[in-house]
Amino acid sequence: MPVPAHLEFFIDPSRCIGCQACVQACRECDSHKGQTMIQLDYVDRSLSTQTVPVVCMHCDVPTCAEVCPADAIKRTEDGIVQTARKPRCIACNNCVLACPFGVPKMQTSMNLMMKCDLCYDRTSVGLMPMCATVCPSQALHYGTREEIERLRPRSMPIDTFQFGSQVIHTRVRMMVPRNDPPAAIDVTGAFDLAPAPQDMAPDPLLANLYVEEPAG
Amino acid sequence: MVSQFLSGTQTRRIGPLLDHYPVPRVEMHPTLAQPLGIADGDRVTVETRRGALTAPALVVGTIRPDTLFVPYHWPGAQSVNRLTIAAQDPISKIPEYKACAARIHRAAEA
Repeated sequence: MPVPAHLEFFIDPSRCIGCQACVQACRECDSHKGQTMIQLDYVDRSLSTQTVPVVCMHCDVPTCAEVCPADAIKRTEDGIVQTARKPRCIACNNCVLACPFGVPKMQTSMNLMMKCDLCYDRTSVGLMPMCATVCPSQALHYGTREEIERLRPRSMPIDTFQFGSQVIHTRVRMMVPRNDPPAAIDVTGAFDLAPAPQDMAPDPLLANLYVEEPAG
Repeated sequence: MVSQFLSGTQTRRIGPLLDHYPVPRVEMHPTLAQPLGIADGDRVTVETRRGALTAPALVVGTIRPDTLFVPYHWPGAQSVNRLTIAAQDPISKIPEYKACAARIHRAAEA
């Protein structure tokens, strides 16, 4: 049966503690042969241990499916973008390069792209995805919009991402502050910041740690 | 690091957990690493009065500049417990939190 429309997947990156429970739980499913379909990316390990979960965002108009020359990626009517079908995938890597979120991974040993399909074998029969089931800090939540509004009185979900001039709508939601929320999460906007200086100074941590002694 | 637990006898038998963190790493702050010419990933040697350990460095800002940290989940030559002090509470025999003086330098080229 199709995944119900009222059940949505919410990512709250500020709650991610980097415990890797989602990664290990995802790995256990034999349908993708011990490879994890979710990963945790460090925002900047030299500055902080903060991680962000990366799952397939199940875009309304999936770029991966659009660029696939073998028509191996399908989006079912419930909005879930399925992983590449083995009989069709030719391992060309178009989808790996095209996805703005960097989700599809090429399994070179199997000549097959694999990506998160929201645990379709579970969600299509009323279960939750494995990652949301094991997440201890509610960084990943699968449920209704009413549930998330009750759990997060100061946050709200949005489904719009901006990559330069391209705007993408997704089935997976990301939590943003409820007060003054952005219209879209501007991903490439952050790339315009000046690159970090190569030499050791100025180090923002040093500025906090080493306070000049008061004179006299 | 989250993938290893205590002596590692359980967690070092699970492939994906070892893939996440295969060998111990010496965590240190850039202000400590830079004057010693240590870059992230360089092999470094930590020495105490009791022993020495050589492992790759993890140069990050998330540790105090006067502190080194090495996880203890590996055996033999990779066990940092050979370097620390084996003091216990005299009555309960609970081991103390392990902290000791140490010296650090880039590993001599093998």
